[in-house]
Amino acid sequence: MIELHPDEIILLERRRYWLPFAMEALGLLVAAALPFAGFLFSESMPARLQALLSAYSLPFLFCATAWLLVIWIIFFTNWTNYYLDILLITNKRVIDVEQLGLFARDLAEMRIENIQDIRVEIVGLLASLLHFGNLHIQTAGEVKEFVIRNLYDPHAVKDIISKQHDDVMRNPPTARPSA
Amino acid sequence: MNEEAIRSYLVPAAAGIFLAVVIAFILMSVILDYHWRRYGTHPKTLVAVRVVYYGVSVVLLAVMAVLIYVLSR
Repeated sequence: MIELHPDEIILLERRRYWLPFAMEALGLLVAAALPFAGFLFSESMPARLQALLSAYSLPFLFCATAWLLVIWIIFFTNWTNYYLDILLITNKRVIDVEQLGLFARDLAEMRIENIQDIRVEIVGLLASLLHFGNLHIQTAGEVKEFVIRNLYDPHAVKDIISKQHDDVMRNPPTARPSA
Repeated sequence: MNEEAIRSYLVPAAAGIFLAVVIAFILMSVILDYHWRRYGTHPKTLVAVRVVYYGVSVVLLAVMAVLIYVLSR
């Protein structure tokens, strides 16, 4: 879990847009249904294949179940990657956690007062219709630009960060916690 | 290869597949559970996720075990 500072409050918690995950899930659903579709449409298969399927229906069912379990595990692996990909905006920081795979995790952290510029990028018909896009945050830190991809309503996220930035600049923190 | 010979290989093959799937399931479950515990942000959601994940997985493993039993008879 991400540790917050004692006086830190979460203002917004947002995951990546669900569409890429849903597309992956749809692909897995089709893959899971394939062996069972073989059973359903066995009548339209060549006679030799039909005979083989009816003679070995139990082993076929066993393999289909094993296949289903493998698909089930892959689905939860994808879901975990989606679920752990998160953007947190607090009153002090912007924390972007990108789960690149089960063994690759990228955590970027920007202090609100270091943010210099925020840019919203919405490219394509689908992104425009469904209101998702990328957020580019320029900072005064070592890494100049952070890109947070596939966020729902990036304009609203930008507004929250900008408002918090203004608040922090009006009342700058007196002392920075040591790293 | 005649049908009888094929059938004699079915049960050991199914048992091997079952063993491989169980090992993969245990390995992946340990990894996934670690991620949910270590990086998860909503404990209540994760309890529901665990119930669904383990519930369905156990049912599928049980179906496989029953099919091996039926094949071996």
